[in-house]
Amino acid sequence: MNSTRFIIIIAMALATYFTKGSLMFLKRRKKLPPLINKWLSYIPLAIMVSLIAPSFFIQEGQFICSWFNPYLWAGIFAAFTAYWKENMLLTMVVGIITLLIFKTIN
Amino acid sequence: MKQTSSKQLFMLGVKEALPLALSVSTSGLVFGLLGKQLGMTMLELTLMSALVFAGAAQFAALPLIASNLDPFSIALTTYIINLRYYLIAASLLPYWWGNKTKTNAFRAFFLTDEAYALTINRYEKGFYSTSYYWGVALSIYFGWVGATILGVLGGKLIPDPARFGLDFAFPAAFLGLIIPQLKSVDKLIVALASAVLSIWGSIYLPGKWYIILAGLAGSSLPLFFSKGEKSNE
Repeated sequence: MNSTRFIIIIAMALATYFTKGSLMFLKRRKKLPPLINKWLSYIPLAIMVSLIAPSFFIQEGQFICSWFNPYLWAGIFAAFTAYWKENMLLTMVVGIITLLIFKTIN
Repeated sequence: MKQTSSKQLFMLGVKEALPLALSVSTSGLVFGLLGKQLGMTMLELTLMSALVFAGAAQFAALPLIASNLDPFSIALTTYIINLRYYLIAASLLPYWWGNKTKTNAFRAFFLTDEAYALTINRYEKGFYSTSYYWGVALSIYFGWVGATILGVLGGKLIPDPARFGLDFAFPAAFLGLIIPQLKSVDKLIVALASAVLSIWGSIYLPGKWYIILAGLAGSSLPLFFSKGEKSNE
């Protein structure tokens, strides 16, 4: 392996660990005020939504919100599955299959 | 849960992580394939997955490495893409305060969006188990590293993963996690605001900033609305 690549990998590993781990070294604090606690409890949902929302509407940098967007359809079907069955694996399978069907139709 | 052994809790974590580990493995496979195509070696790609362990950042790094960008700029890009882990770590921290710093520091290395989503979901329901976390985190870790290796090996088997709808595995699996949570007005507001902001941000903001923006802004929106109410939480 060339040494530059090795340095890059180590540097990336350190940069990543800094974001994941540095807060763990903080000294223990008092309990947070309720408003902050409430806010922190909403962050996971907000991040999870932000991680995936664009993938239903953005394809190759373009915003597509039309009846011909297969990702949107797959998302709608998967969302209904998630609502009724509350089963992640089933939701994933329904999503992938719906996507393939709508891609074939288009 | 009193009678449940730590081994059972570990296996529960493994079981519940399975759909996400599969979806992570799909990305890992693609990562291995892409990296190989861009001229990286098996050793480099495996090391990167094992030591960096951050999907989005690793994907982003591939074209930068191929274009011989300097290590500092690549590490900075990695850092920025991973900024969201500060939020993730901050929200886990209150649940982890009971442990030794060393333990937490070790566990933090294995944090991922996926492991976080599953564990915090459990924590919020009052289910706190270290073994469960390890079951989830290690399934995802070995799924990611193992799939990277398979991806490099099987270069020619899946020339175009998008054709098989596998690019949708991650969003679909996440919907299964998100939708059942939307049982209060506040959470609906958070979800809708984050969706709109992240879609807008992914078009107009550089890189992965939209995740930070929508994560911070979307989650704080209901705090303004419910100010007058007396909350029992």
